[in-house]
Amino acid sequence: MKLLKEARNLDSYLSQGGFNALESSLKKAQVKIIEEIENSGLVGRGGAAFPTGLKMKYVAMNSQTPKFIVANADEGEPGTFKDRVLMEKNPYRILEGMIISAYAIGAKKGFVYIRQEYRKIAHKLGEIIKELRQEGYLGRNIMGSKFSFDIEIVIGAGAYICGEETALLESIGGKRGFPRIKPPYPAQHGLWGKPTLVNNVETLANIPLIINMGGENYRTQGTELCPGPKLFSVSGFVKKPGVYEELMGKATIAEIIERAGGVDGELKGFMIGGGAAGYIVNESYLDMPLCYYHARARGISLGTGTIIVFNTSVNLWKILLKIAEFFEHESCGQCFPCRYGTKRMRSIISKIVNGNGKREDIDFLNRIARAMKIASLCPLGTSAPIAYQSAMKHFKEELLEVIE
Amino acid sequence: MHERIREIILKNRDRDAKLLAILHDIQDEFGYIPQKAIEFISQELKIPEGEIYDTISFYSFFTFKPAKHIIRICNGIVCNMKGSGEIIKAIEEKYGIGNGETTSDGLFTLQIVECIGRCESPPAMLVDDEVYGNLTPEKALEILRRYEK
Repeated sequence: MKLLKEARNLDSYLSQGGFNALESSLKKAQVKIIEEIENSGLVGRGGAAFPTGLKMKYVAMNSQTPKFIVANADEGEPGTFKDRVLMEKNPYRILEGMIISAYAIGAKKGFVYIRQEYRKIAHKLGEIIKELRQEGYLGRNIMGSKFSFDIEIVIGAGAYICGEETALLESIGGKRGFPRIKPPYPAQHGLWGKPTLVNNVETLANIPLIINMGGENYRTQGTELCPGPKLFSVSGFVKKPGVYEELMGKATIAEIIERAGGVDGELKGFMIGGGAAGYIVNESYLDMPLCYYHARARGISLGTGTIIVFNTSVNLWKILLKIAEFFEHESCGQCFPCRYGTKRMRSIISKIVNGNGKREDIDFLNRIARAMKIASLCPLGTSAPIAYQSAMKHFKEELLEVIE
Repeated sequence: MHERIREIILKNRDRDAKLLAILHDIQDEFGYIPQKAIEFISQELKIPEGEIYDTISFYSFFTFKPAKHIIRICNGIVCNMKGSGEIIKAIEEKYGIGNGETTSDGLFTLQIVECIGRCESPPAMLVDDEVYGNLTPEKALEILRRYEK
């Protein structure tokens, strides 16, 4: 079971058993496939960890047509690059997973939304889609069945917020990437108001694995509560930064840092989760097994599986400023708590970095963080204060040292 | 220009997600989105000009000023920790442009951007669609020199 197993071309993918899962799926009833996915225990790999089978079921049960499927390849969380590496190594399995999912929910059209910064990969995916059409894996009557389905590539244009699923749908529709208020969820009211399944590309790559080995069997991989393989983007002060694959719950943070060559310098802590929306924690988390369940039990989130390692040369206020600048820039400006909150957080942290921090600034930061968490419209605003709050929890003394 | 834009619109006619694809092609063709293009797209697709402008202005990839090459220097958390500041400074000094500005000869536009997903080789930058990693100020300037021709 290797997500990162390389398939440079269609022949090499076929020689690894590629499209066997699609072939067997097309002979099964659609509900059986969704059942298999539900039994597998797969949860979304894009950060929110929602049960994939359940999401498919919501779309499948919706009687409205047409239905759409969207692969989210708009990877934009700082420090996250696992989707890019996956698309470079094995784009075929992602597309196979997408075709199987489309069949299961009854979609005839799908979109891969990929960020502009990955445009070369998008063009390669476009070529592969053409090839799959010629070979009968896409288009009319796929593999001689009655099922027809096609995929269109949509390239983003430099907006982090478009990784949020409803903003992404707006963007495909040619609009500003403004998130919508949920509910309704995309399963009810998605692309052009139609039922839409939005899945991260890593999630989709798991689908053929599940079909091939069976849901029950897949569930035995990893841990009971968190099955399957997961990709981790490890960067920062490690000697061999890169994407590493592990079965859920089988490796600790310390072990994955070792795989990435170990710490470059002396370990201070790390940021874990979904990049900017990640938690800044200290070495007490080194023994945490990497899975969604353990992360939640320890009060953090695994997010997209991003680990940015800090050594003792790293100044945490500067990191927090960087993150605050990021959110100020990427806030779409639609709702007030996020638009104003990100701006205020940045200006106060900037004051502190410049050596002018006062006690009341900390109180103010805490109040803004709370308000943003309660009142922001979408996860961008609610997650913007996480880095600050978690750093304050784990590195309080150090952070307050510079405050008058 | 009208002819070329019409071809671009025609090329994308079978797409469901038309507007972004058309805008990408226009940006590539002209190096920016000309005002005229907005008028033509509006006529051809029957979308009000204001709505097209609304979309264009939201996305940082689309620009209203022509430039031959766009330099996007990553200043995400990881690249920032690994010295993107020095790269930015070197380019700003060499070409006399800041974030969002274009050289007077229209050769380069500089954009300081958030994470471009190349965190295994920081600091990194994109010149148009080409990725360059493990940069030093000298290496970055050397790479840009090649685009001056």
